[in-house]
Amino acid sequence: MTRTHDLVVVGAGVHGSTVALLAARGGLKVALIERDQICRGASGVNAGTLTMQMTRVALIPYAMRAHAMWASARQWLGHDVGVVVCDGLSLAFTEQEEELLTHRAGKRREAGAPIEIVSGQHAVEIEPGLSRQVRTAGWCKVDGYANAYQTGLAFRRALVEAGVVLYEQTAALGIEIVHRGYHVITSKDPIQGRRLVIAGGVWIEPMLAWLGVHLPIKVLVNQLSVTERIAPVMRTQVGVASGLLSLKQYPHGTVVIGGGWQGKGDRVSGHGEIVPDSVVGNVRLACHAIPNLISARLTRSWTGFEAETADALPAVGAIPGFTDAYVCGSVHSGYTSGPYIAKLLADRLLGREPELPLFPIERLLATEDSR
Amino acid sequence: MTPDFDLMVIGAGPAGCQSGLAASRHGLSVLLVDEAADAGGQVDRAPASGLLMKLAEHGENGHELRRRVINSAITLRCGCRVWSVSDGFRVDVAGPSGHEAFSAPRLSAASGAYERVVPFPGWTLPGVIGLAAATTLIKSQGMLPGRRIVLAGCGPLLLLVASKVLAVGGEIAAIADLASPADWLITLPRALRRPPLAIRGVGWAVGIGRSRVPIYFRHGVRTATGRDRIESVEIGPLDRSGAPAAGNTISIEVDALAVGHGLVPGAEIPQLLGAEMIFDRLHGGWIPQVDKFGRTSRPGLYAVGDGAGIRGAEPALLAGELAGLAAARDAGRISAATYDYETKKPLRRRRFYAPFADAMAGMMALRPEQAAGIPAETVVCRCEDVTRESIENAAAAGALDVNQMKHFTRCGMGPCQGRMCGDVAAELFAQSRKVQRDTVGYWTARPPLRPVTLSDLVGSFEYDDIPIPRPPPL
Amino acid sequence: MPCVCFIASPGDRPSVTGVVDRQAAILAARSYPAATTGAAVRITGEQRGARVVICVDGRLIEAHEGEMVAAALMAAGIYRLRQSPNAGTARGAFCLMGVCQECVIQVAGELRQSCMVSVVAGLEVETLPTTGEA
Repeated sequence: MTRTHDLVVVGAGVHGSTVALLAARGGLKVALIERDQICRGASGVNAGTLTMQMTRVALIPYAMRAHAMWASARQWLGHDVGVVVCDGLSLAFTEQEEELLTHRAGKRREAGAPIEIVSGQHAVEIEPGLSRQVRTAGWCKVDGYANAYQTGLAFRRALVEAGVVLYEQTAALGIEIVHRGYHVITSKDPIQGRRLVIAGGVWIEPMLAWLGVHLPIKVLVNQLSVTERIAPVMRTQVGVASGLLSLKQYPHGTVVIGGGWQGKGDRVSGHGEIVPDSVVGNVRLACHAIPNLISARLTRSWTGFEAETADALPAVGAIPGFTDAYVCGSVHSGYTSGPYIAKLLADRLLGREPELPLFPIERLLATEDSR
Repeated sequence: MTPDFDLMVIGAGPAGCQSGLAASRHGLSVLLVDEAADAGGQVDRAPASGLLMKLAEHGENGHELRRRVINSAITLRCGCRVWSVSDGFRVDVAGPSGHEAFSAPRLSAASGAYERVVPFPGWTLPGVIGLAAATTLIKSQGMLPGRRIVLAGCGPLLLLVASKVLAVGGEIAAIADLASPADWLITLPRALRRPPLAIRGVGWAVGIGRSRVPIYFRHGVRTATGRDRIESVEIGPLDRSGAPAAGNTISIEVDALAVGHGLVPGAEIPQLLGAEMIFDRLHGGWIPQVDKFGRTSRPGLYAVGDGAGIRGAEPALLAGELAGLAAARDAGRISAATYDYETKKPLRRRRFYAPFADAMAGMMALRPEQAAGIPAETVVCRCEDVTRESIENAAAAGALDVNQMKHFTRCGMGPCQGRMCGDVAAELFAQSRKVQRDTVGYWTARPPLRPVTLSDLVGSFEYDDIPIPRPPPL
Repeated sequence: MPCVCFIASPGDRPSVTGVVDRQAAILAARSYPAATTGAAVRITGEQRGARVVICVDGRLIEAHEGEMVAAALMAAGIYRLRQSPNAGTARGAFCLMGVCQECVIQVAGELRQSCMVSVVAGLEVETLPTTGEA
């Protein structure tokens, strides 16, 4: 007889892991299913950027609170993910970029992000490694980064301590509704829970399809690159007005270059492949922003999947037509806002009123005549 | 898009050159790329320009190979570092002309091998070099590593370096061989299939024996010490499996230590292109699955030479020949009859030589007990200073495969991209998890295939050149 | 002190002329350390590329045109090239075949693997500093 947990969470990225962790600490008996290993998908390979300047306006209140969670990870998570809180700069090199930047920074500021527009000169004072060709920059003190690959170990320790039952290297293959709740068929033994959270990232679409719910999720294949350890060339987190650059230098000296340049891949195979021209474009942008990077050596490029809904806003809330079944993901800059968004859902599961609204998915469901 | 070539070969060692020559002979247009200044790979490495050594033993093979390549229709690009292979197939190169990309429907991976050194305390001291490094110093730079040298490790390279050092009048303070004389003698019957090699090998052994250099069989390096460079070496006994055994150790003052424990196949390109891989301990570790002509599981991709399994130079030439012919056949340039005829002899020769190649591979293969003997606080990942202890802690913390172990420890994240430590690190990790070696997998291959300077990647550009699409929604 | 005779190799590129002149002047005026014990040893009696002078960390050392830079440094007794970025231990050339990345130093102003660069007259080489320096 399969044991029935209070809660089954499918997908152990930041969203799934945080929901599982907080639910367990709140007294629920939680099972967490992951086809690979904890936080080895997008949550383990993203650029770790914790910025307001690439966050959707609607998500700024969430991202601000998530930033505070990341900054205090040692306290609530209990383990280090290498968070550095530092200034963030979003750069404009052309007149159009200046307009774009000013407009967007203004909107984000209205939403609560403390972003100030500064001159290129001032930006250089804040970040001496900056190209002198910067015209203006958005400057935000609520910024910084985490070390994504440390996320897995940190969450694993916290989850184990909280008594979450971990099923790694266990692929969910289907979900059935049973008397007791939800019966998840996996590549190993089936797992049952009274309540269900689907937090499978880009795989949310096929997972919801098991329940007959159709929520289209676009798969972005983001590319990243990293240099070897080099002498200090920058001290802030740097992006550009167009949003296509993220750049930071970790305390141990490596520089991670990102920004959403696209590789190739699909969620069926689960593999992503580097597109060389995207590496070149991304690196050019990075060297344009921080010229001293030019003499560094690139040692690795890789890809990660990012989920995007039709309106590029999260899918977080109850699954319509089902009791005690929820979805949590496709947040856009999901790592940045992840812990807080997941906390809201955990609060709901624990019977508390979430501090900020969730993102009901009715708006995203594809109409289907057969339903 | 029209491909630039019929076949691209990456790596201009014996296997790569022969691959290209066989294909070119049958009318295929071939691009042969290597990051070194000349073709020849490591075993046939060109000497420093201007260096003309009297001891030109086997130098002729390299000259001959280079000559044949230059006189062929092959497009040879040396000094070009391949940093990405993708699609089916595109090769991105950083070289003297900046960033270039080439395409072809067929690709032959001939990246060769690199040396495995099982770590010991002090192995990172300047002045400690590999056996292959010592070979390079002598053969292509006309230099001895020092005035008082200790050689250690296992395999035919140990013998080769020792004989070369003695031939040029160098002083060897001691040789520490993991093997015993019996281990060597067992290979002799198989060596007789290669009379020139057998004679050469016996000649080396006799020369070393007569030199009165102290040879410590079943011994290995315990520690190397020195302040900023090596000053002394301690060697100690090993048991049959290669693990440290009880017994007296010997301390020797040196100014150079050359040590090597076999070769690891450079199989990153097949891995990167998604070819089926198998773990073959005898032939060095993870290698692509290939048919007898070098075709991998990925159509159009061939893997040849030591990069497809450690078998030595002669089998590499034969493998190259077979893959070049297979490429020509697959491109429809030769008939089935010609193909059957031309592949007969190389196949037969390779079968004949296989027992000797395997005997030599066996002398070099990593034994689990060698890894087990590494002290806990010894650095295993040189680039990141990750110790054996850290690797084992990753297993204790729940890491299941080497990729997760890498995330937990940073082992393999440095500029050598896990080549120097990968085999031993995976061995330690598997032992620590008490699972079979192939269970823990291999590090996901990713570009760049070798570190590449950002300046080589970006070339000269204007800001407007950068294709920045529409900004994301607000 | 060995007497070094600098012979310009035939076919010098025009850009090297200035260096050649400077070399000749330096050779006439200065002396430089011969290889000591604790160094790689050039095998005697072999024919090599032209003897040249290169500049390593501000010191002039003798080498041969076409030699591997890492080897030329070893022959001059220069083994410590850099330090490991994490623990700061002394490192030098290890594999000599472009794999280990331990021999990476500044060659003509760029970070290069010194086992993959050939000596030319007047080459400027800088080993990487220990922590605390720029």
